[in-house]
Amino acid sequence: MAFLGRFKLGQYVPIPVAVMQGEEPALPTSAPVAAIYQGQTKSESKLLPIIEPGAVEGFFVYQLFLGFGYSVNYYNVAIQYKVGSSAHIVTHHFEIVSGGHINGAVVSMTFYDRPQADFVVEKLDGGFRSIGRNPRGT
Amino acid sequence: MYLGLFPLADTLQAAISITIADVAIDPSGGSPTYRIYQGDSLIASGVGTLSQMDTGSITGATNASPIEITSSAHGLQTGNVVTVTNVGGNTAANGTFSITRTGANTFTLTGTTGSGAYTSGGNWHVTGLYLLSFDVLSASGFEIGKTYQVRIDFVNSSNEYCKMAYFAVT
Repeated sequence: MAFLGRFKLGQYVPIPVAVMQGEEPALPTSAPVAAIYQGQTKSESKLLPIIEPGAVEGFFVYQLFLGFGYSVNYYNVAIQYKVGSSAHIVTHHFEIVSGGHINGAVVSMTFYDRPQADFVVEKLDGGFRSIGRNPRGT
Repeated sequence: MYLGLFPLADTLQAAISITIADVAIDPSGGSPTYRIYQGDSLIASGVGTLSQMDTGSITGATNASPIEITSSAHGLQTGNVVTVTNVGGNTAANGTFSITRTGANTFTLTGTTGSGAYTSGGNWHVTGLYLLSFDVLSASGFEIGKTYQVRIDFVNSSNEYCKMAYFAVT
């Protein structure tokens, strides 16, 4: 359990869990489930994907996008998994500070040749598209 | 366990996992208790609450295999582990189980078989998940720029356990 850090809207929060049985790494019976809470109100639940299964055992990380539904606040994360018949729980915490935008950053951009070169089309982290003025257009 | 930074006059609401050897439990000796220290001085005892987090009421439990629980807007997902208590009639539903989500208002308890017709009552909560909640007030002794320790104590099967958590006031 840990304080994961301070983030802005539009960023990704890595939510990790190292599945353990005692002090040894182990594989859970199914993918760990992470529930994200603002205070005690649940925002959403996510299944954690496994990371590097060929190199390390039982390491799962979910990249949580701070988009729609999130705001400047303090959040709790509760991750549950089972190893054999034992139920495990791990808690994390993170904070969203002011700044950023729920749509995130531009991840790709398309521009057009003249005569449409006045504009560029951008794809954002949040899945939205936007049209912006091409600074090199005429 | 570092909980983070909290402004003075804000309310701290932090999830705490109660575990023994990383296994989630609900202490048999009752709810956990906590005390808050700054350095070697006790700051607050009896301020705020440490109570079960993510809970719900049950309005139905099928006499089937597996038992299907009805709980309005439960918000659980397949793979969650919950502890069910106080179900009347179909008492096989009481205990700690993995669940499978079957709808927004229903979920099944893995590995269960009904023991009778549901009569009344019942609650569920996510096993081992508690919420530490209190106001960070100067009247309670909190000061900006200082770090505080929270000692959490609980009893299970007559054995005493403790956990530590830390936070700073900004």
